Amino acid sequence: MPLVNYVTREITCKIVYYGPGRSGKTTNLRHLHARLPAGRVGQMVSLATEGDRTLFFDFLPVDLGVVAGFGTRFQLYTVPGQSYYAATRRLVLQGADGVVFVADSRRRQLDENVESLRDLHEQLAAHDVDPRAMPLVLQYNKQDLPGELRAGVAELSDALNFRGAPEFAADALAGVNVFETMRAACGLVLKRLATPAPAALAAP
Amino acid sequence: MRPPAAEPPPPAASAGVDDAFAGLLVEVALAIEASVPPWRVRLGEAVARWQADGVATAVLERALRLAEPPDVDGLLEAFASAVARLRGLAAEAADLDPALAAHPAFGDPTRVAEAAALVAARRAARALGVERIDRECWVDTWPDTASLLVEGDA
Repeated sequence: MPLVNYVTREITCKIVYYGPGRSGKTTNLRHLHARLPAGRVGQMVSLATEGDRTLFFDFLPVDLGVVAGFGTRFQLYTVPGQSYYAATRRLVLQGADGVVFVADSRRRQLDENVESLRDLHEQLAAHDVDPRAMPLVLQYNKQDLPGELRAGVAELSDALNFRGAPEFAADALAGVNVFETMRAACGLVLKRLATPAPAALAAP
Repeated sequence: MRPPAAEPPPPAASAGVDDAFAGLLVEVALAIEASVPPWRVRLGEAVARWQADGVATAVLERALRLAEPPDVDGLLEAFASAVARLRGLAAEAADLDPALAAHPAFGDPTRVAEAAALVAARRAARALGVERIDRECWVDTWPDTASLLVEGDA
C-alpha cells in the first residue's frame, strides 16, 4: 500500500523491478535515470556490484514534485536475479507497492523467467502478501534480438502472464518502452490508494 | 481478455520522454484526486495546523487511521472547543502560577479534565494561602498555620 502522509501531504510508493539475472532490470533504471527530467530524479545508488551484475540492489528515487497537493515520490528498486540471492530479494521486496517483472526474451532463458516469477510469488507469500493482489507489470526485454534467438511476445505472455497484467515488449538498452513500463506500474500502484487495505494471505 | 503487449515504437519515439513525463504527472494527479479521501485530507490539514500551534493531535491522528470516515465536522468542532477551553485554563493557570501553565496537559485536548483539576487545585491552594504548588500538586511551601489554630476552652 503506498505510504500516504496526510499531515505532511506526501505520497511515497515503492516499485521493485524483479526478474532473472541479466534480464535488464538495472538497465531499466539506468535509462530512467538518464532520461527523466533533471531535478525529478535523484542519484542512482547501486550497492555492491561486480562485473555489472547487481549483488544487492539498485535504488532510484523519482520525485514528481507536488501533484494534486501531495509531494509524490516513487522509489524504484531492483533485486539481484541470481537464485542464490533469495534472502536479498525478500528484503528488497518488503513493503513493495508494485512490481515490474523484467523477463529476458532470449529463448534459452524461458525457464529462468518462469522460475523467477515463481520465486517472486514465494517471496511475496513470505511477506504475507497475496501475489494476486500485488500490482504487476510485465516487461519482455530484449525484443530487439533476432527472431530466432528470442521468444515472441505471445509466447512469453502465455508462459508468464496468466494474470493478464499490463505487458510491454521492450528494448531496455535503447530505452524502448522503459518509461511506459514504469508509467503503467505507477498507475497501478496509485489505483491502490483508493483501496482500504492490502490483501493478505488467508490463514491456512 | 488480456490487453495486447505494447509493441516497441521506432527509436525516435523514446525521444519524447519529457512529454511522456508530463503525461505521467497528469495521470498521477488524476489518480490522487480520484483516490485520496477528502475527509482524510481535511483531518490531515487540521493535524498540521494544530501541531504548528503546539497542540497535541493524537486523537485526530487516530481518526486519520480509521477505515471508515468519522464525523469529521463534529470531531474538529469538539477538538477546537477543547483547545479553546484549554487555552482559557492555561491563561488562568498563568495568572495563578506561570510555571503551572507550562504543564503538558494544557496542550492536549484529551486532558482537559486534568488541566481543569490542576487549575482548581492551584486556585484552592491560593485560597488557603499556599505559596507554591508544583505540577504534581505537591505543596512546596505551606502557610503558617499557627494563626489558624483555634484552641478550645480548657
